[in-house]
Amino acid sequence: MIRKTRRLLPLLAAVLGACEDQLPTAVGPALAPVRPLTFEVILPWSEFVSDARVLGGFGRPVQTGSGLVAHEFVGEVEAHTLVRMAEFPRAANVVDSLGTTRKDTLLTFLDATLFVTFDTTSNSSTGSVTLQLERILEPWDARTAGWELAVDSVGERTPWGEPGGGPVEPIAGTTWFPQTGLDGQFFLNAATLALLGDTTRNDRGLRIRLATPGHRLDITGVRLDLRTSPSINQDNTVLLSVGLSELTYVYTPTPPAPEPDELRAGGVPAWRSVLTLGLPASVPGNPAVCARLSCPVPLTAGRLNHAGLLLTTEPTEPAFVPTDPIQFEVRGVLAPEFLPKSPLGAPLFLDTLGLAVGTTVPESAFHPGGARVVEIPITPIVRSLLSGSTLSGFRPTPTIALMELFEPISFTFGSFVGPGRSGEPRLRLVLTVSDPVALP
Amino acid sequence: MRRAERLLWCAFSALALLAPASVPAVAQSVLAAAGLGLPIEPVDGRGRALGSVGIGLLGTTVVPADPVGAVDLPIPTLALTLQSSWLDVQEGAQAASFSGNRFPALGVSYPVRDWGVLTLTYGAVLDQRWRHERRDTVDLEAGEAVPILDRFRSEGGVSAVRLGFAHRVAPSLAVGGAVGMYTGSLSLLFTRLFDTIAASGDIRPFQSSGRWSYSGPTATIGAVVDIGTVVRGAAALTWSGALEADPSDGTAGESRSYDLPLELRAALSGSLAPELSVLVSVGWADWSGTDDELEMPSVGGALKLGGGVEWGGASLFGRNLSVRLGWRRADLPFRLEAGTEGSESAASGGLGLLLLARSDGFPLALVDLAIERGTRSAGTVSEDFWRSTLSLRVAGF
Repeated sequence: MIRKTRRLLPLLAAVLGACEDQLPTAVGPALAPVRPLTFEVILPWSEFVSDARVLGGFGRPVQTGSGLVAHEFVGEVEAHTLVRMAEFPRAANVVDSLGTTRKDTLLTFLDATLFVTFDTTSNSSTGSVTLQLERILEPWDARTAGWELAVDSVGERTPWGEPGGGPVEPIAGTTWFPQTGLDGQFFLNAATLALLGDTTRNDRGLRIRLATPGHRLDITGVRLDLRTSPSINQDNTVLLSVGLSELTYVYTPTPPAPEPDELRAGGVPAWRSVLTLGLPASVPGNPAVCARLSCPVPLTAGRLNHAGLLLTTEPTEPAFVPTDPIQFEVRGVLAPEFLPKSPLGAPLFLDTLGLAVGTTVPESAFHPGGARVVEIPITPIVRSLLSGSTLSGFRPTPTIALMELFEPISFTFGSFVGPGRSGEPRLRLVLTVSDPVALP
Repeated sequence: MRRAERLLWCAFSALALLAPASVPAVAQSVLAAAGLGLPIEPVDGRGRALGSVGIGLLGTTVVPADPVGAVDLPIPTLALTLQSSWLDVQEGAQAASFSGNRFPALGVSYPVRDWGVLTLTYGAVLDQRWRHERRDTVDLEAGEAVPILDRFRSEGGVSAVRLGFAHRVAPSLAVGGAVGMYTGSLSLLFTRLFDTIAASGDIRPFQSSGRWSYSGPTATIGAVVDIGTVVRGAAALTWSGALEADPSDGTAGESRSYDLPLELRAALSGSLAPELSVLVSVGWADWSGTDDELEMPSVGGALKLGGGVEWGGASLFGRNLSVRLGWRRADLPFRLEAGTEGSESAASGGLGLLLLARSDGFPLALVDLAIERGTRSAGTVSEDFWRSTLSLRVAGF
């Protein structure tokens, strides 16, 4: 009998497990013994920020993976793209006269075409523009090169012979038509290829320069197609593509430092606006809230639904005004005492793929007449500050950095109205209060 | 000793099976939102089919509500009851359907020499599982009306574990009593969810929660009078001490104490023919003692009554089959809205199949199934339900 019982109990469990349990749900008159009230509080700058500063110099153009050319853009900006191609191929598989594919290590480079891909959306020109391809004649370091210096690393600062990547030797010119969407093309002869292919030369490199004044172009890629004569079956030519080894750009002038009443984020090197939060212990409530609770209402993590920085955009320096929407984010500054070299906290918001999510602001917001209020959510940071602990159990930092997502990404940046002016930053809080849940 | 070990093993196995479900497992009514919840009758499938309030059935039973029902069980017996519900709720113009399961009753009996029968039972008392949802909008200062969903979830309930003893003092008279403890817990969770798409941003939910544990003493005494095997009269009185609700750590508020009522139940069964019997039963309790602690006063006295007829002359695959019909009605003790009173009524039918019997005819294994079709209503809420109750009783292990 006991065996039968043992068999029966799992069977009963299985029967029950197969059934779906649902809580009867009332949707009519309020049965819940709580009276929740959600309200909004806007804190002025002086009530939530104890310190603010704008820091620059984060990242270098080489980290963007893109190039930039400009000539007298808004009357003053000059930018040249510097390129170092990858090592030329030493061998190729070639079909001989018998139709057999063989490896040929005795290649002769006849000439080449350099293809330059432009970002057609950020292009400032609607008409054709002329570009020049030039060979760099001095040693340079792609990671540290700037407008004035060819090398700018610790212990070594070497200026260019001519600011902006010079002196150079002209190679070719081309005209690019933005309407076509095609790549710009430069022709390189065998002699130039011989110089570019010599990897022992540390002056190896190309400079791409915009000759048409008043414009700016972003370069998204460079490729070199080598027309090659093999030693096998010499009647044929073979096209071999060479990618980039290094791509960077140099530009002038550098943007002026922001005024004390300006916040700034973005650019290359990037700007960050660093704020130290000093949250109040309580906030005012609206009449409905004050009728329920004693006002001011203590500010607690449990009551906080949302916290967002309300920022008013303002026109950016004309030379650096964004040409594409910019994504901004806020991160915690983990060791403020080590600024500007403090590590940053993890992104506050992730999408379903685990990628950081920022707040997108259209480029028009930084153009004259386009000023608007944008909100950058910082709920996790404020919630941690109020609870006294992060989700990981660490003490939260009150210092935050307003920065561009995926920094650095473009030499353009966004400007915001800073403290002391109309439209200064504010903190928007959405809070909910309710009676505690209680027994019937 | 070996028999006692087997009995304990079965009892613990059954309790282990129940542990994740924690009687009462699943709510069966939105009306559980009223007062202390919806009273649960820990009745088996046979009693459900006959409209019983829990006592007075001819034959033997092991149910929490009846301290004397096991008095004539000469061998160890385990009884387990499972219940499923399908519920259609109508609230004004809104309707919804739900389903769920529960273990309303579990019992074990063990004869102690010729002194009597010891019982250990575990049964549901009050069901407090329900949920409320309300959609609305919140106007924020920026002028945006953000859609919200307020969700209140109540999980748990009150159950009782009882140790009883029944003794036949005379061929026509048996008495019994049980003492026990109320147990169970209640978890309340309020959540306000914001439509983050409409709000164009990240707005975290608001939550407020609490948990309380129940405790308190209870005792039941009962008696059965048999006139031959033709008529049985039974009565039981259940006393309850204060039901204490103690908050767990982190829960705001103090302990609360509810005065549960004295409950009186009586029943009369009779054989009309060799295989035909009838049952009428009635119960009454005054819940007004809970009014001091409740925001919405109870209805005070709550009456329940029911009756049914059983025919045991059928057979299925050569085994004895009982066919039952019944009806019951009960006042709901708690109000959902001021000035309204609720009630539940149901018609029932059922079957009882004897799976295994001893040579003298004593049942060793039997299964009872009851199907009820009923309605509940209180204020603007009305419910139609189907409820199945399946009981299994095994003996002789």
